[in-house]
Amino acid sequence: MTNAPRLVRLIEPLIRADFRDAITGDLVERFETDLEQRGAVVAQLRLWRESFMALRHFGRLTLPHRENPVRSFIADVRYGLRVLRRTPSFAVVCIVTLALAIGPTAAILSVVDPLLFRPLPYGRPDHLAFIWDRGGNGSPINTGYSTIEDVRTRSTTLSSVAAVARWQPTLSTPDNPERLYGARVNWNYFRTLAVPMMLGRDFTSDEDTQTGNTVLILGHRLWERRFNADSSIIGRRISLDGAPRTVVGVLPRDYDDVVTPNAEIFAPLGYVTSLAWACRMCRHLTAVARVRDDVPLERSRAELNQISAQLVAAFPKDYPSVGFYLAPLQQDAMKEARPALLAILGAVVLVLLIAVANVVNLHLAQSIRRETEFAVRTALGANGWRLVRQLVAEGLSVALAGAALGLGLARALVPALVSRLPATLPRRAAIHLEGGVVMTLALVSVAIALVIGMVPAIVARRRALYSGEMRSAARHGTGHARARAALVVGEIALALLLLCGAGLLSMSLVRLFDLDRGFDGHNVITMNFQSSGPAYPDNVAVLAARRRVLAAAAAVPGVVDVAAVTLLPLGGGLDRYGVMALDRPLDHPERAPAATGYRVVGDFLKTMRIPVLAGRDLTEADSRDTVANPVVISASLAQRLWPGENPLNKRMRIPNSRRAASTVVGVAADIRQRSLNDDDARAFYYPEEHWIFPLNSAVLVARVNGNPAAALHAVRAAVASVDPSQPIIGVRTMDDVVSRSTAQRQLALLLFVAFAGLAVLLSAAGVYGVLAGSVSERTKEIGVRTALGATTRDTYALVLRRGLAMAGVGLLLGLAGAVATTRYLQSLLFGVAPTDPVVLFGAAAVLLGVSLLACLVPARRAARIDPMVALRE
Amino acid sequence: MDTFGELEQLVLLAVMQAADDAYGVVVQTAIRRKARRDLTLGTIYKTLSRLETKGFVTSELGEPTAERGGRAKRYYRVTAAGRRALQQQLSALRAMAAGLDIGLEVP
Repeated sequence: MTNAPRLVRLIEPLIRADFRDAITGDLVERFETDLEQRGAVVAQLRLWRESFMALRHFGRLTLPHRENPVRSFIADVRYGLRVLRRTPSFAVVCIVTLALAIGPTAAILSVVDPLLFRPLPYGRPDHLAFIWDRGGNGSPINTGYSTIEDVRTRSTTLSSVAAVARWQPTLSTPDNPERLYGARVNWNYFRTLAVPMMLGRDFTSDEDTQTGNTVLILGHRLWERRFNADSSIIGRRISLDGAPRTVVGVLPRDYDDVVTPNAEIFAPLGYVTSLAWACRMCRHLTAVARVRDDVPLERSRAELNQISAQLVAAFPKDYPSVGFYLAPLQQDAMKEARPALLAILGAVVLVLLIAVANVVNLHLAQSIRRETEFAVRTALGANGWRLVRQLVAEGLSVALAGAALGLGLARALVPALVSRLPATLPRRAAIHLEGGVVMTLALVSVAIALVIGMVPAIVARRRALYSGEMRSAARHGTGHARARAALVVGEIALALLLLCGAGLLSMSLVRLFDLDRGFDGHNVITMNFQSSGPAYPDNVAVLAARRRVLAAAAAVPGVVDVAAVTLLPLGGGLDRYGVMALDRPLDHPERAPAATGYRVVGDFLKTMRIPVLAGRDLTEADSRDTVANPVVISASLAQRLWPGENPLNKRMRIPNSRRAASTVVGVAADIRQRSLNDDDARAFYYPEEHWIFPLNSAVLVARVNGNPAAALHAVRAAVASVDPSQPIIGVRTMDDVVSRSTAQRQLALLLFVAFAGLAVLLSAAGVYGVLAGSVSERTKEIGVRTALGATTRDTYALVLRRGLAMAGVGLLLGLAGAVATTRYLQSLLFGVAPTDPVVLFGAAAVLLGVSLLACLVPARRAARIDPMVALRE
Repeated sequence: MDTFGELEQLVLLAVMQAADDAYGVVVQTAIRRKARRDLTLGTIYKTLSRLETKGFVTSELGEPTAERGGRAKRYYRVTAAGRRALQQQLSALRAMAAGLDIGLEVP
């Protein structure tokens, strides 16, 4: 009871001393009673009203004039609203302009904040870091389990280290099988992150073994989606990949895995160092570490490098180079998205600046019309401060209305943005329009109000002081005109920056899509299917099922070629292996060149139309050939393994293959694998049967005649008919797969185009506004000129010269700005320099053209001025 | 002699109703219950301090109370002058209403 609401404590010192105790005490009492009788919302609303009125009648602060500030501010706002109501179109234009900029700003802030700025939802997130091995070329790579175990035992600066492996189990229910995204983790994973369970318990160390590994932890969303948020789930056995596991815990709602984005189901890893796949070279694990609270990251980093040096000395063949990376969790998880997000944030801030400049400009024009009013008020004793306050109050009405409308817009924009973010981006679920963003916007609105109130006020005040009498506005227009022209110049410069950005990004995308991918994805459809569970006990059964799926798909009318492959090029993940030429033994096998292995069933190269440059494609017989073990390699792998030689019939070794060595029977053209802009095309294709065990899941690729989108459904149905209990995911055309691989660029481009469009529109409106204003101010002058013999052409020139001068200065400034800033887009660009002259001057030309159009309307109006009418006025 | 407006009338009556326990919230609650008028505390204290200036009420600070976070209440009491003024005003009202069918005829 004694704990007064914050609002009361806030206003308490502002209440007149003789009534302070009585009133604030009553406010508290009233609030408590209302809370009990009417509920929190009503109580809160009433408290606001009570506090406001208490301040109004008993506020302590008074100005020199002895006027009550709250009361006179209300009067100002009321007056401002009346002014706005008198000129509704002016108010609407200002509010909509601001909303169009504030909406996207709020939406982008909502997206960027949880991704880049808000701390991750773990305990002491600043002490969490990834540990990466160092690859041959110095880049960070995954680690093997034995390495992680060694770091764990030798380090004194890390309080814990946990290994994480991706995991995509199938939730086997008879009616609705689903492939889930998850992770296999060391038992101390959630302890390392310092995340407590919402329900049940965390893993224990004896569950992180090969025998004890029969438990599960569910993510909150999965628990709601598939188990109806049932709290009795703890202890229940559910079937994953056909095997039962016991649910022991459910994660809290705000848990969000940035190590394996989208993971919502977790099982213990169950590794020991003696396992074949726990070796140092078996680099398929991600290591997450917590640095001790009292240890700075730097010290831990130094210690890890010492440990690395010891390990490399002990196992020189297992490490390509010395050193570990200790990378802060949030920074590292976002390192790919960061430049794009910051560029987009920068772009939207530019849009906001342009919008504010535009609204200030409108207010300046408006204040010319109100000059007489200001002069009267000054004559009646209003000092400059009073006028400024008046205009700020008006500005606040406009800014807050714009912010409110903008927030509505942002509510619609945020989900649209989230749906376009790359699927691999972590923290997507944390993106909402949050209170923090709303607060930021409120502050921004106040700042905007100050600007749109102050600028005209300063000009108005200066002139009210100097002129001292009421005059027609036209004679004093120069100060205003200069301020307005400066604003428009600024708008044009900023708009050019955005336009250059949009141009560079679209040029990059065009170049990317123009690239020869090495395969023809048109008319190809793809889907991920699976054969797991008790019905597929061994390799034979899995492979037989795969062939049945291919046969079913091939039987669909319109399907020309089909194949199954372990992973799709440009599909987001690659299987990389170090491969060796048998006739060229390496001193350092750990430095064997990495290449992507595609294990195929059926005619993969033919289906994807990947040309065979030499030798032949794989055939059905190759899968049974246990002597030669045929393999097809890409041209760049051939070049790397046997530079300048004929690779055909040469032998190479693929690690973990069931066969001793493979014989090159063909050379295929290079294809784009990781992304359109990554030209590492080393690849090899070989039959799934040669691998130690077939993967339970595979990607079907099917080439169809005609529209691939139309055939999707029929092919999916055919695949499902083989075993309806198996989930099918990722049903899409290959074109779609390619397009998705550029999701981040496309989103950046879309936003830049939208922002640039808005910016160009606003600055054109600015040019138009200034010229139209000057034409109507100079009606008489133009009339005189016409009467004295000026031609239509002269009049056009008069107006156009002024407009183009503004545009020209703006464009020059903008070009200079573009040269200075477009390099921040570098990571998003491809095949185009940040200062590409074609793009920069092209953008300038577009903007010049638009400005010219904006000049023409007022110029035409000027040319039509009838001298007789103008002079008579 | 000072007269007063409707607001002052309501507040004065409410103070009388509350007898020894007349402070802001009590006055506000009484007016809300009986007169169905939702006045804010700020308005009520403003009216009370006006009445005090006219000499119709007096006020004194009470002891600090724990349930209000150690804040004291300000208690009001109607003076003899206030009582007289109220009587005059109400009897004037009654006299004017006599004979009219507006629910005020019966004393």
